[in-house]
Amino acid sequence: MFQKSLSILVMAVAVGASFAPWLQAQTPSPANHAVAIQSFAFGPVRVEIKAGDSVQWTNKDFAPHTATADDEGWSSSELKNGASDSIVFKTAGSFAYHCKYHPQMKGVIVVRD
Amino acid sequence: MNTFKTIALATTLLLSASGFARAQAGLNDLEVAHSAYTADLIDIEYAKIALAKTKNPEVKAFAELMIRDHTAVNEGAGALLAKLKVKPQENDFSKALQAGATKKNAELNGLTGEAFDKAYAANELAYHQTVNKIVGQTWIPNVKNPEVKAFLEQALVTFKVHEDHAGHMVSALK
Ligand SMILES: [Cu+2]
Repeated sequence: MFQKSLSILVMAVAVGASFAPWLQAQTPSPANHAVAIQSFAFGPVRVEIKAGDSVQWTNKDFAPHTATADDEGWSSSELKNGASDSIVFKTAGSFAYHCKYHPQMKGVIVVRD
Repeated sequence: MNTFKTIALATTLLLSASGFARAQAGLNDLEVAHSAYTADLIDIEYAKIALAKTKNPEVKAFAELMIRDHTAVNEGAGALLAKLKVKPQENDFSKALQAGATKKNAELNGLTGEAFDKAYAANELAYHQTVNKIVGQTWIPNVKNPEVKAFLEQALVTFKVHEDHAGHMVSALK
């Protein structure tokens, strides 16, 4: 594995590429970002992640909530008190979302490449 | 002063004066728990009437929200009482709440169409305003058990959201 990486590195340097693409190829496994739902609010309201990362919502209220894209392209399940659900974001973009039961609850996930 | 307003409002809207006066004598934690549970059930009953009667999508969505959220709050109350190994105690205040609701149910059941929608919306706003004042100004400051207090604080967040929502519904139906 190390041998192979080293040879790729040598090649990359040899063709004049910067280190950056090689380093990016080695980025660690996708991260999971926690969002708490408490007192009828998403916290943090805005989360910035990398493509491939996931966001996990956990409901700390009694009232059931959801995290549902404003364009309805994705949604968590109905989250009862104490329940969690995760969604993986594969494509870059800014995704505004809300709770479908309490639409005044709003958040945004910003996904970067 | 606030307590006086709460008493006046609650008396007008929900209860006989004598029922509320006795209630103000001071409920213990288990009586508060029973009253909170009863207040929740009452709003679920109102919502069930609304679901059977309304044709207005906004009113229907609100009634569904009341059933979903108040059921969840009562599940939370049940879990806490089980954990504390105590039973809620029926009391004059919860009886007065139920008596007021029985009258209101009869009134709502006698209405149809827009008249029903308006009466339901107005009652939801008034009911949440009244209950929220009692929870916020009388129960939360007076309960002894910290977990019961935390429960009421969390329930109040939910009920305040409902109060706002009911206010929007009342305006939309004008
Ligand atoms: Cu919600």
